[in-house]
Amino acid sequence: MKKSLLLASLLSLFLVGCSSTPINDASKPAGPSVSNDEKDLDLASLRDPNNILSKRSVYFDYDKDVVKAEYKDLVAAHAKYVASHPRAKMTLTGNTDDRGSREYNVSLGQKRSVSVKKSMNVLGAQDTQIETVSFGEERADTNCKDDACYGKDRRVDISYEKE
Amino acid sequence: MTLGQVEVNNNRIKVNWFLVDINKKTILTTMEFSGPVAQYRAIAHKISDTIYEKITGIPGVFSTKISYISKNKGRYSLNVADADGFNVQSVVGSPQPIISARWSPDAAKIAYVSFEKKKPIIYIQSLVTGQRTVVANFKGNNSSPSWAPDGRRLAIVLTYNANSQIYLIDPDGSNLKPLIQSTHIDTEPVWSPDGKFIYFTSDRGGRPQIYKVSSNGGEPQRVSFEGNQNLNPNISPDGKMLSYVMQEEGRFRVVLHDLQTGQITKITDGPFDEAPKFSPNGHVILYAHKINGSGDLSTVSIDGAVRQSFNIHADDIREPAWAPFVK
Repeated sequence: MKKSLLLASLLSLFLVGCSSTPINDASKPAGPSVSNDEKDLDLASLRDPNNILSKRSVYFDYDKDVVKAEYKDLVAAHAKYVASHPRAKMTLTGNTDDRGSREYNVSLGQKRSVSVKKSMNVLGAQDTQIETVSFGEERADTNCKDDACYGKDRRVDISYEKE
Repeated sequence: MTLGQVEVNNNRIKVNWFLVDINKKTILTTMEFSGPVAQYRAIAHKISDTIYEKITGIPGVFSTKISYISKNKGRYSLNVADADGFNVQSVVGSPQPIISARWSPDAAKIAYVSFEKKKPIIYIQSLVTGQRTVVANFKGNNSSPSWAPDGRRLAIVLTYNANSQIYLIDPDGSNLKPLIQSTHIDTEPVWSPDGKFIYFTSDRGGRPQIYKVSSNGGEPQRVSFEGNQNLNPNISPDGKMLSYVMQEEGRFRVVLHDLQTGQITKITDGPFDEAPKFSPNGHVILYAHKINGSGDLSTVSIDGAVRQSFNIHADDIREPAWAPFVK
């Protein structure tokens, strides 16, 4: 919390400094600049390897779509990020292992991304900011022989439009 | 037994052949085919079809087309080929997966699902012009297209921000309406040949099973009762048999389900068989199987007796579909 306050105040000082020098360059494109997103969407936190927001995968047990206790903090962190950044757009992508039919696995992956979304809704993340999709088995390891391997494929990946 | 004679003259090939019944010592059929030498394969297919029909009373499928998807060095291609796997042409290529290709009833278009925009979207592509249009790109997944027998509508699967549900839509993407609504997974719709019913896969009973519902909507009825899970339905051209994937003890195999008697016949062994498709004459099932991380296609006759593997180019291939007879 303190860290982001410091960062925000540093950034606002920088912007105040900029606005006192008028820029008269007609070749600069109009519209929101990259630095607006960096600040408004706090992209640095999404990328920081020491920040839980840089962790993006939720794993599931066989035949289950329940978000396990060990992922509650991760899901909560992303939910709060979305809830506090109205311009953020998140995609939840469900995945399965490669057993079974491809279309049914698209649906099964979707069940998992919906499950993560519902956990986030409870914490204030709005559906208008979230899209749930599924790649089914299409990203699965096709050489798996045991559940330790299959388990890596039972996964929802969190990604953002801007990150 | 077939006896014949081939003559090549001036870049033209002429085939005279006799179909002989050895036991009765009679000639069943005799014909002559001729054409440009370059069309020798098409001529051979035509002869095979004629022999097949003479012996079985059912049209042969040697001149029909199949489609399948190949994966090579991380790139996907939707391909069309002759029914024997030769004469392969790529219809569309992508660095992201392509699944669920389905031929239109007039065999002139293919609907398919592409992940090129990092989510599944349904396209229809003309095999004549190569042009394609987006059928469905709604929020969430857009997948599992199935053509109605009159080609005027498709059943598709959408999710928005919920579970997979079946909708009907026109090929131009208009007139979207839900078929049935539930909180469960409903997917893999396939129309009966008379257009009256849609078979589909649902987990409303706990595990995926095959169900049937009127194409006007209503209350679905469960159709599959054996094994652990049943998925991926396909229906014979005469509407009398289903083919689908049954999972038992972790093994996925193709089964036939006689809709009149309820009898189930296991026609493949697995362990990872999928995507069964009837040939347009209903005599053969084309399906995909995976082994050691790579996929291949095989055919099996519906009595389980005759099997053939494709081994196409040693590529990783999947998702076969069989084009209907072209009228």
